[in-house]
Amino acid sequence: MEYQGLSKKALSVLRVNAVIGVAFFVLGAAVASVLLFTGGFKLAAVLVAAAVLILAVLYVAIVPAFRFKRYKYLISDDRVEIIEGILFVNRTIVPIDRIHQIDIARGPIDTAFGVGKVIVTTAGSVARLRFLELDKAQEIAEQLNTVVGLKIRGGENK
Amino acid sequence: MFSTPSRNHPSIVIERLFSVIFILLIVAAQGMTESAESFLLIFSAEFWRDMFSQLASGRFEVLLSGAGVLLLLVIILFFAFRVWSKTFFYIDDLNLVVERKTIFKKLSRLPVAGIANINIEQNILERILGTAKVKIDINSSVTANQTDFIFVLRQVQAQDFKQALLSAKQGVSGEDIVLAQQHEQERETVISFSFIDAVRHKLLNLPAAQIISAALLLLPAFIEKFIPDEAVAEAQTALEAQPAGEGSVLAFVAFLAFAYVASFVYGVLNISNYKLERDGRNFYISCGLLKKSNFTFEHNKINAVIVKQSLLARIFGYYYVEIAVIGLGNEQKESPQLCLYTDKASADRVLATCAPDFSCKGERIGCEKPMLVSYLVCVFLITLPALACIPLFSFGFVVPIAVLVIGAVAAVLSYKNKSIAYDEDVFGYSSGVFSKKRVCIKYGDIQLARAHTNFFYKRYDVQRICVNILSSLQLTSHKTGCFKTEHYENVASRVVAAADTSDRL
Repeated sequence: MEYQGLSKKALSVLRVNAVIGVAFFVLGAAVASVLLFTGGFKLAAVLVAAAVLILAVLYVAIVPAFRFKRYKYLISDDRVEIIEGILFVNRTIVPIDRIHQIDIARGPIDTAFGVGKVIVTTAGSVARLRFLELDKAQEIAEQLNTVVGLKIRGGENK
Repeated sequence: MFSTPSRNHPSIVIERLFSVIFILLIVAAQGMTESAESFLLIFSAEFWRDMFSQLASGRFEVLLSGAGVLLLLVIILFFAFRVWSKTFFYIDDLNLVVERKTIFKKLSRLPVAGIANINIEQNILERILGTAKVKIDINSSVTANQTDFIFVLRQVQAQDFKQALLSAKQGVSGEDIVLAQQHEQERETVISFSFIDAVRHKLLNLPAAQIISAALLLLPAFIEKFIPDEAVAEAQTALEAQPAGEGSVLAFVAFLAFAYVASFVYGVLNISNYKLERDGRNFYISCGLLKKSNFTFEHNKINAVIVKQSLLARIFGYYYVEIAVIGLGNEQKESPQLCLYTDKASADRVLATCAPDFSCKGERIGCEKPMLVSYLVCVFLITLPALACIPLFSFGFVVPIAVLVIGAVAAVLSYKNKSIAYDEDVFGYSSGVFSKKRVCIKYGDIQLARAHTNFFYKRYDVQRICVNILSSLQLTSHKTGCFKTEHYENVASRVVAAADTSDRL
């Protein structure tokens, strides 16, 4: 089976998340710049503001694209596999028969863009398939529910 | 017995609020004994009328007086005893039911089949009062870091309650009660430890950081002879010039030393007379002189076995065995030990007797070099800020050199101690810097396997492996060093192929 990537909608969500993430840094830099400027360090204020703005723009422009390209997942008969990350890449494998619970969750930004995440819970850990289109998330959740249901019924028949 | 609603022993109120009662009594006594006359006034009705009228007019600062604190204590105790009087528990056919009928009502139904551990504990107060604590844990990683249910009963009642729960549990599982009783009578002692062994265990468990710190503290006395006399005299004069500086430093050090020794002695007394027994179904651990603890858990509840050696233990050739059992000893971060520090032969015997399924016969695979490189880079980055110490004082250059040397030694030791091994049934890994640990986990107990990599590791096709098991927080996640991707693939495929054994829980 082949790994699947994310849809284009996910890229928009990633960009919005990136904007929200850097907004706090930009705000902090703005405050620092104002303080430096009023304190007489005009050049330093301009440099700080310019540097943070440039970095923020680069971050929003480049990082979401990297995350989008890197994010892959695989649902097979025996496992759920998730690969994600930018500089530090995580590859998570959850055996299907360890899954106890499947949830679909959406935050306000996910709802606005029509995406959601599937949360897979085992006895001792949690894994998340994020930035999935809603119908895809439903499909995956139903597929996993069927497998888990078969496992429980198989256990009862024993 | 216990089929009708029962209450906890009323001393549970004192136990739960002991620290609050103690502090409030101290504050109240201090407030009232400032003036003997004000102390006697609390027995007059006029005093209380005056206090309540001040409270009614909004002058709440009166609560800070000794009498006010005493009033607060009485109110707290009243509500605590009310909660106690309205809290019941009983065992029906299949469930342990705990019901609280206060304003905030709660009804908990715990299927007895879901009970993982039933442990009995007695602290000093409980031994004086003749009571004991029954601690019940269920198989849930959500509540793995605290005991799920605690009951305080008379000592005999506590034993009866435990037996009633075990009988109900065995009845649900279909096990013959007679067979269960027979198993219990066939109890054999696997290993036992005396008071001296407990002292040895605590001494060997001294952290490497403490030993190194002690050595570094003694180092100035050793190198003092190389420092010019004028510098030493100058330092002594500066110290003596501080107002009461030397005296307060000595008092602080003495307090720290006393606190440390008291903690050490308390720890020794809590693990004295440590004994591990087993029968056909369960393990039984009992220990403690001041606080007597009894742990009971089934053979198949062990999720991982950890063999540990501290720095001193590695020097003297001792080992101790910890286990990951959900719900066993997690509240005060107690280590779930199978045995205390003992020699290799005894440790191997305990492992062969109690956890024979956890031996890994796979070949040892050493850590890959990119891990060492990343460690040395971290050491270099940590040393950079230490360079700022050089201009601060005469021997400031010692700090970055010490950081660099200790960091490099730790990096090399950590790299050399990291390894993995796996066979068809068990995954094992070892790690540690000055101390060392070896962990063995069965594939069926692994809930999730994760590989971490970055642009540097990817170039050498290596990854860090992390596996999660069902356990308390400190033993849930197990991370290894850097190994080739093929090893992660082999381990992951065995994890996926192995049947889920959390069903047995």
